[in-house]
Amino acid sequence: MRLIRRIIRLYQSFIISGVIILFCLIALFVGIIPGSQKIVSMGKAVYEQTKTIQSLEEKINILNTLDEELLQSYVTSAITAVPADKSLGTIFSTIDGLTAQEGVAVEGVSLSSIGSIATESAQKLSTEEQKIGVNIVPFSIVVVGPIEQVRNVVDKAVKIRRLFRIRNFDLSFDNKSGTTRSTIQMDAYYVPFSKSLGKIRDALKPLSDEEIQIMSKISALPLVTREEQVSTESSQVQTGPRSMDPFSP
Amino acid sequence: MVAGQRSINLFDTKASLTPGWQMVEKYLLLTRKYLLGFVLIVGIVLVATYGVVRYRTTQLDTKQKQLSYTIQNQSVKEGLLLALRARITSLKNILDAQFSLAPYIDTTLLLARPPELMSFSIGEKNTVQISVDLPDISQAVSMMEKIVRLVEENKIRNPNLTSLAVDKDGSIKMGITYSVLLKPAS
Repeated sequence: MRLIRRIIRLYQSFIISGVIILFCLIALFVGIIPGSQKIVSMGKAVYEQTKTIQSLEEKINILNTLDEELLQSYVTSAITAVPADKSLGTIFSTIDGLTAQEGVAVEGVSLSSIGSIATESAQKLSTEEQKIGVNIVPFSIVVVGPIEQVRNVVDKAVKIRRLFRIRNFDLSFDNKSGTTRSTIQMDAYYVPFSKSLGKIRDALKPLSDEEIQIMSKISALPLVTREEQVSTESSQVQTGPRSMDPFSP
Repeated sequence: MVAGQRSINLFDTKASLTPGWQMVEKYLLLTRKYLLGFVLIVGIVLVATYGVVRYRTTQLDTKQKQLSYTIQNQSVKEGLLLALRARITSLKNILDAQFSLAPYIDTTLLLARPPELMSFSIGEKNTVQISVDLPDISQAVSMMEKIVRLVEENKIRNPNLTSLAVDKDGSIKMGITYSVLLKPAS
């Protein structure tokens, strides 16, 4: 006992210093270093959040400058040009309107079922769909009428708002009946709406000059349908709350 | 006894250490002083920084919530813009792929019209195939001259006579192919 007391008395200052140094080291490794790391990560988070807030403010500024009515009219024009579904009604009504306008008679309309049978032509169309980035509805019409008027149908078919493309054109003259029969193979287009709007934090850019030019061009194209028949589904643009699951209702 | 140390004890109250240990003790005292000071100062600085950063985080969180709410209120506009932008890309691709076939017909009408023009079709690589039924050889010659003129005017190129048949009644049936340069639809 005396020996212990003597050792304590002899090394008293060593013990105190040791305890203090030990405390400091514990404070350093348990408090200061993790605390510093935590503050550094919080600082990074603050920096990121500041950037996010800046982008949100920019987004709000852009949204404030947008004219909702103009956007609505552009969207309507765009959907009339390229519906969200096959919209066969608009194809038929446009063809009907176009041929009636030019004074030719439609003798027949046929639609191809693309993708159901893996024929060469179907594969070719799929490649084209991939190339253009839209879905194609191929169809053909048989029209009877003077060649000048058929020519006008062919010409106007690519200058109307329901966008078509003429894939091929055949004409034959029947000597007996004296009629000119033309088969016009055409493509109509459709692009389904995307199911989600993205995240709130996603950056937003206003329409570029080029995009506005395209929309002006589309809006200026005449609607040749006898009556505008944009399907209900086509005209519904998702503007509601965001859904993370694109398949959820 | 150390000079300047006031004590009434005749004996030294502290057990004496060897000079080596005294040196170690001196460095230990110095180390603990600086280490303690360092820990205290850094601790205070860290606590203060944490408080500031924490306050700033709370502030930014509140602001972000407000901004998100504002954006949420304008989701209709955003939805319209995004839907439109996605569609404009498709529209551009379609417009780029569109072209008018009217020049094919116009060029053909310069050569022949029904009833002489029996058939007309467009093949690969902008090639037009026509078949004409002409009443006599002079009409056929006239048509050939028209073809040569159109070639010279750069309206058609690579004309080919694919078939030629003369009927008993003297009428001539000809199959002709040629290429037309297409212009993009305006």
